[in-house]
Amino acid sequence: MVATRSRRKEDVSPRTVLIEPFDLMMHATEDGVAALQQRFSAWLRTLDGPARFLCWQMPADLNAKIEEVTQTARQTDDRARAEMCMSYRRHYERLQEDAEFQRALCGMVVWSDEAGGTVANGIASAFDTLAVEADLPPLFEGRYTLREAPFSHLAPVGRPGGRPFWAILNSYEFLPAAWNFFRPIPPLLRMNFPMALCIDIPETLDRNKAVDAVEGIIQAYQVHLVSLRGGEDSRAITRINDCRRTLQEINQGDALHNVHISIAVAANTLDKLRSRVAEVITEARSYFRLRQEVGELLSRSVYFFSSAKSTQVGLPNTTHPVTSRELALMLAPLGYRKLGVVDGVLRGEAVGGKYPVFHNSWRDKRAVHEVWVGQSGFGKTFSLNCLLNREYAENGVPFDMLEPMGHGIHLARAFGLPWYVLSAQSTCLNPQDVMFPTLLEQTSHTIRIYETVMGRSLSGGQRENLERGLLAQALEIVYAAYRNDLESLSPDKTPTADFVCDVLSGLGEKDHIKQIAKDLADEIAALVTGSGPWAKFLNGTTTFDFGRSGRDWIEPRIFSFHELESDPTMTALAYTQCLAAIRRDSLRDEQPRVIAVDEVYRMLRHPSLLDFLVEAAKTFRTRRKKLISIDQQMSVFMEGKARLIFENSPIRVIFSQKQGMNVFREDAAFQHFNEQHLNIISALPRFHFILDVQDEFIGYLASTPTQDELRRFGST
Amino acid sequence: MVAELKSHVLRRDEKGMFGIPFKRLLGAGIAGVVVFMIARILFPIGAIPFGFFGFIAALILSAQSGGLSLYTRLLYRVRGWLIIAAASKPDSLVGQLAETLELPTHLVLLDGEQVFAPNEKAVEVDLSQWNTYAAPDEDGEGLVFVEQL
Repeated sequence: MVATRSRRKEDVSPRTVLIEPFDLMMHATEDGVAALQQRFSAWLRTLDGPARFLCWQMPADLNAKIEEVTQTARQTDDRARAEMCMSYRRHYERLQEDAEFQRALCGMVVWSDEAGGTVANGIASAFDTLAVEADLPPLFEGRYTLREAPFSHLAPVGRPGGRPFWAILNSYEFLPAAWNFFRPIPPLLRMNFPMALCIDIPETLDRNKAVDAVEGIIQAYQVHLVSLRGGEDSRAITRINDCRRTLQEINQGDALHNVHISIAVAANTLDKLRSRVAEVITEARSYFRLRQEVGELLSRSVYFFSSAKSTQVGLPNTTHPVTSRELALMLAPLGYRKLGVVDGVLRGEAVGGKYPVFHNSWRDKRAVHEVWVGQSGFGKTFSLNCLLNREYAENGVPFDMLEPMGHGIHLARAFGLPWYVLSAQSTCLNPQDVMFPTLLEQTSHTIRIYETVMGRSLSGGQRENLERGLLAQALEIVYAAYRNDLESLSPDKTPTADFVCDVLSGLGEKDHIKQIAKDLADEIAALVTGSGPWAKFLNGTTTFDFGRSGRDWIEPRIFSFHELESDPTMTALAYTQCLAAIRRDSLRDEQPRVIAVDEVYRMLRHPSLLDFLVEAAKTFRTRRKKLISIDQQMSVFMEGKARLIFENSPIRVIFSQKQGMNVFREDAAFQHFNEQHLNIISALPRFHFILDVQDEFIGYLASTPTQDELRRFGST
Repeated sequence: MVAELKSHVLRRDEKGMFGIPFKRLLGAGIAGVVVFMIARILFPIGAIPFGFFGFIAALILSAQSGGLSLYTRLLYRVRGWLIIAAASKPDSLVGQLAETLELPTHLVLLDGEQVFAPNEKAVEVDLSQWNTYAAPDEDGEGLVFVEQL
């Protein structure tokens, strides 16, 4: 009899943890799966009591999502939005018709003295996926009775109400065969019917006792072989070799676990149940043998799908000893993510899995910013348009889109909205427009704009500090009448740049200070007044209505900057003023809103504007405004202060990055990417991307537009 | 990454005769001897056939199928038949027999809510009803529990 490592304490409570499956395709290189196996087995080695891994696979549908969009379409007063919702409904219905979705959920029961949260954290960190302490889902609902005819099965009592019949198969023999993460468990899960899989680990043997037991078997077989006269026992020789390999693996740190597999199969008719049972037995036959349970054993086997201890289940012992590295491969269902929750908006279709991926980024009180990167022509703009459309139609989340290419027209047309085009010829953005509630913040914002115009910083030297002080003084004089209620200063009454220059030129008490003030006023005036290069753009009353004009809700807005293309500084200033206005409005409510900024690098290369963007990102977050920062290269977000934007954006959407792979290989922020992730990123085809939701999900997705989206945004 | 699953390294399964493992032959032999000895007490002459049949019966009953011996399968089949019959007619003779044998008749009817009931969670303490005092003797009570109103 082999003693076990477990302390045999009957009072140890089961800790139930639900584990979010991940996508094995994201680890599908030789090194990737080896690392995965190593990680799993490292956790299994630490087991000191019974444990049980469970995977439930149930047919799933998009009915909840379809119902949700239908309800939204009914409730909204906005006809355009209702039509969008109905088009999404048609799309989801079409997806459902073409596919047989399944939902997979994995769980682990660990009998341990540790708190459930601790166990869940341990599993999450070892398996690198989301794990939470939660109750396990039931295998079936309602009452079931044991029936022996025409074959042993469990049948629902009373009105079935869609409840299926169940049969349970238990493993009794494992054959010598090569296991990996792709066989033999995944083919079982690919069968498109409801089933549940249980890998029961009733005991993990203490290392020394396991070595003693295995060595005892070797000795016994050696005696047996010596005593054989004129015969050969090849099984005994194989067994000795297997024992030696087991010892070797135990000496390398593996534990020896006793394992048995249970599979529960469901069907709506008994004929179908019989054929499914036969299908499962046949599929597994070359790896392990399954016995269809009958009578009392069938009823007892149901408890394997609960948190009852194996000893309480009371089934005859047909466990098989495996080492941790072998057992790790039995946890393969963890790598087969299927249709997940349908909460949130559609982000794309999983490549390989062919199931839609939804994500709700409005679950938390704070908004979750996103960073999107990808080369031109690989589908960023198109995917962004689709996302904004979905957020608006399904969740009623409006957006502000700032883009430099002129593609905004498609969004404007789709929503029937005015298209705000900022032009060097016809647009004027007054730097003195009130964007901040306090005088201190407002003056520093305006100084930032003048710094950008002048192309130099007003700090760092004695003269620059004096200049900064004088400009701040001038602005304080300009705003003096509204000092106590700055926000009451409307754009049409806001002083213009030439007035600021006039005030500035008259400042200073000593001669040399007067001269500095005059020189600075001249410098600014030369640029923004008269015939200066930015006079038309900055010296005058703002021609845009950025405010809410007394409305409670601001409709989606699209700002295009393609007519400022020739002047990067002007584009950056326009971005800043737009964002500042949006930021100002954001502070007043907590209504969710998406603010998408394309070609962020235009702002990032002006240090003073970068500070503003970083600060705005933090403000947006607390006010439920999601900032989507878009650029071509991830490296743009990894340098200097721009990194703060990256670090404040837990969702990263990565399109093709053939030219900038070094950042993914070298930067610590991407250490969670394995070689397969990097290979995918470097070879992403058009309209394919990696969706990386920090600590939650990494998926390889394809943009799956609806027909309506294709019609609207196809040309982008 | 591949792992070659190994044979059962904790179980001995030495070669016997006629495809029957040695362990089973040995067990059946012992059973045959025991039957022979008991038969010899009852029938001093002619006990050898009993022993032989005992040996054959033990050999047959220990035949493995689906990981279970024939004996185990028969036992569970009879138990299954008894518990189903007892559950359908608890007052019948079979029902009383099942009760006498303490058979698990509750396994015939499984209630999902009971079988898959979540574990009892640790009792949560509502700390909102704590009342603290600046000084232990304040108000003559110090730190006390306050009953929920």
